[in-house]
Amino acid sequence: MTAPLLELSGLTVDVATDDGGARTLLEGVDLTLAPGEALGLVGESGSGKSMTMRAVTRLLPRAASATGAIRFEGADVLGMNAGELRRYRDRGVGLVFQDPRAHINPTRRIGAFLVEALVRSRGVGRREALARAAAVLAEVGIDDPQRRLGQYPHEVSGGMLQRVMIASVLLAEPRLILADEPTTALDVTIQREVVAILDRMRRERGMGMVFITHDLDLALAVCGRVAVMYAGRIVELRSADTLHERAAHPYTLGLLGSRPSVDARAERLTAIPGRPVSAFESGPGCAFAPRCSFATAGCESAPPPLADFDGGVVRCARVQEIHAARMETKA
Amino acid sequence: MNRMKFTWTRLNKALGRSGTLSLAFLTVVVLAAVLAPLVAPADPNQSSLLDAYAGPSGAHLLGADGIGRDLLSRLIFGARTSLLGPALVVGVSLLLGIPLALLASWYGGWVDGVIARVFDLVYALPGLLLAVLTVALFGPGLTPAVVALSIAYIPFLARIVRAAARQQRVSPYVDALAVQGFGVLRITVRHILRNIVPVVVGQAAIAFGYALLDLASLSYLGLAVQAPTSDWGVMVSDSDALLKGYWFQVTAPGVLIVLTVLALTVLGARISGEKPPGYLRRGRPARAASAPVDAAGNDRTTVGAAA
Amino acid sequence: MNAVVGCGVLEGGNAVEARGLNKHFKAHHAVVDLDFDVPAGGSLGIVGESGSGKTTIARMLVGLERPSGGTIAVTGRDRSRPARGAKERGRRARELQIVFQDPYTSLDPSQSARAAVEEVLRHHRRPLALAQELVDQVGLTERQSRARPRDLSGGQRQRVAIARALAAAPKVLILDEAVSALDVSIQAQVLNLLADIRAETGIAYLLISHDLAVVRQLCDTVLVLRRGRVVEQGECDRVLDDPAEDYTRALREAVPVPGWTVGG
Repeated sequence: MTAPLLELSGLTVDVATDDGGARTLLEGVDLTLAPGEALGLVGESGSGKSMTMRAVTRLLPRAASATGAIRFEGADVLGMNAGELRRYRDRGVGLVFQDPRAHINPTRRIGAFLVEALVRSRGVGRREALARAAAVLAEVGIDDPQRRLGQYPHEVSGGMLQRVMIASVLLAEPRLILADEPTTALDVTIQREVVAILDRMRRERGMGMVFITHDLDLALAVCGRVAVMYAGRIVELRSADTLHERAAHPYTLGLLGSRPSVDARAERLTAIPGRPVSAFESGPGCAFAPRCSFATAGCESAPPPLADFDGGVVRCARVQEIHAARMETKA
Repeated sequence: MNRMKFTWTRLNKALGRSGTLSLAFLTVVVLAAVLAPLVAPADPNQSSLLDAYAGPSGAHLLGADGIGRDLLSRLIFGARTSLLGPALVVGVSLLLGIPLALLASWYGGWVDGVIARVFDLVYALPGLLLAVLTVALFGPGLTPAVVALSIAYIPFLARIVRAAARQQRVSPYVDALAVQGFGVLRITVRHILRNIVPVVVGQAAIAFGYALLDLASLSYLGLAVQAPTSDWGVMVSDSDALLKGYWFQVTAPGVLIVLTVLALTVLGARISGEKPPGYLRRGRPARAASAPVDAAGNDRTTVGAAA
Repeated sequence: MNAVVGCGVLEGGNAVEARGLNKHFKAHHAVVDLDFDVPAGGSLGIVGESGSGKTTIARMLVGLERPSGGTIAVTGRDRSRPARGAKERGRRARELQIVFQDPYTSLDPSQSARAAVEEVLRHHRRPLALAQELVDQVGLTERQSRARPRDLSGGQRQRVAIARALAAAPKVLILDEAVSALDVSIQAQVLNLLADIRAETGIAYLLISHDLAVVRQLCDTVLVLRRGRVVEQGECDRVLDDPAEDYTRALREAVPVPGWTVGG
């Protein structure tokens, strides 16, 4: 087995509050990502999916502190000094955000934005850098890249700008792409194109990718494995092609039942009662228990472990019984 | 007792220590002004030449002025005129400025354009100059000074109110109210104005401070409040005391003016100003975090998005 | 319950009729020659991507924008021109209401759910006692109904917005991306709630959305919009299962579903 590209073990993030207390946002997250693998992180508000990404890049808010371990190609990310961190962010990881407009300087041309890192931290000549930028823009499906380099961000559409962001990541040739809801702000037809570009680039260049989204079906289409998060923890992790058939955690099942289908109208959606919570709002037991129709008194008192089940890992104390009951009703 | 402590804690949290201190100081000043006849140890206009420039003593706690009037009592009664003027200025400015501001923010377009240009025009005129001109036309006194300053202060208040109201105006909740068939008056007053009260109050407090300073200056120049009425501005202008080296008689009202203006400014800023964006203040972690902006700003490495 | 909440069914006819609807913004032609109906008690979905003009249509229907041309009739009454006078405004409000997309800005921050609903009831001279039923109907607890919006979650706020709209007892409710900003599990709750309300009261819906799955779940008929023009309209099942136009097909195929693969 190859060494993992990214390895999180027991990653916990706490944030200090104004009154001197601390709130847990992420609790004991374990994940490994092999080189060239695409992994989906799926969850609702407060699930901690974006916080995981922030921790990986050490872009946590000032009041937050991370414990546990983050290893990138074996190196301890949390222990990096300023120089190492810069190198890691420069060549190790690249980020694609939901709202590209918020992450690009509106007063500078796209070309200047794209070549800045190359010229300043890699010592590439300006002409050479511009040529590379144009080549990458063409690769991500932008017509007439020379003209685009001279344009300002407000002159291009959101979908185009997201491609520019992807191009900027590709120029740095990172080994890992972290994409945080990269298509949520885009129209579905554009989403499809952008996702396709991400996927092709990743495969061609053998990069790893963590794809963060609230859309389970989108994650399943893009990724090989998908981790479902709830209240700062991973509750289920399995391969994308078996998740629909084998989903075992009541929350995953709930998510699948909640989403209306474009193929047929459901008599009634099987909504999960209540609202999603953050880690610090949950009790000592299973965070999902208050919303779970299978929960017993035991679920609320002790946290369930993440355990192997049916080809994946599931964090549910009653997974065996629930599975058996479901199989029975099916049969 | 517990309840008082609770209120104190909440006040401290809302206004901060400096804000709470300012509020406490202003409360004392206002109370002294309102209760002047009860708290002042002597009649502020009762002179006794024997006590001229008396130092602090049992009879005159802060001493007396050049014709032997009790300084403390004059300061306390002086608070009345010194606060009344700015209160009138701010009151009249708000009365005229808020409707104009709401009108401009609601209709936008040319209505907004015209009102905004008028505001700009008035804003460009120094309030003091306007007051001096008015006094030159109508003679000295509190009334002409207050009228002039009231007009001069309208843009100072109304521009902020307009901006805040505009922000509310474009909120979908205002559209929802319009769709419910509510009239303009009800939506602007009952909803928009109510939601911008902190901004109005905060800006009014700051304006109050400036108006106090302006009126004191005018009184100092002998253009507003006239001697022998006790007024801080008039008291600062006591050149006789200064020439004879009795600095305290002049400094005490000056210090009061400075402290009051400072307190009003701090309090106003605290009431209207957004507090620093504390992480988790709204309990919505993902929205509050501002890390990527930081990163893009000072640690540009891989790409703008990545940093 | 429907008698109390009062969204009575219209006797036949169309709840909304738009004919030859146009809207220009300076040089930009946002809505072009649009015809559509929402049958009484029916549910029409208007689907389109950004810039399709779908939100402009909603704003014209509720009177927040004035059509550049064409006519709009709601429950048989014309509203192509701005309302004259408070009485006319009130009447239009009782015909048609709207729920907006963003639950964070569509409520007055200083008003509790109950206060918002009561204000509307009072305005339309309806009994204040209905407030409790409306709050119950949208599934808010007593405590939630007394809380300020900032203490409520997105889904709860959207329930408040729905209750406030229903308080006017409209015959038609426009849902302008009303469930798009919600978490998946909350979105399902609100979609179920909306289906229940329609079943109970016979209210008609005009759902504006970019999400085909949501439209399918809630609507009988659908209109596909692109750059202000109708691409295709008809029964939901027909249009989504057997699209006649390439654009509809492309929209349909871009939705990630089980087995959907990247690229394709």
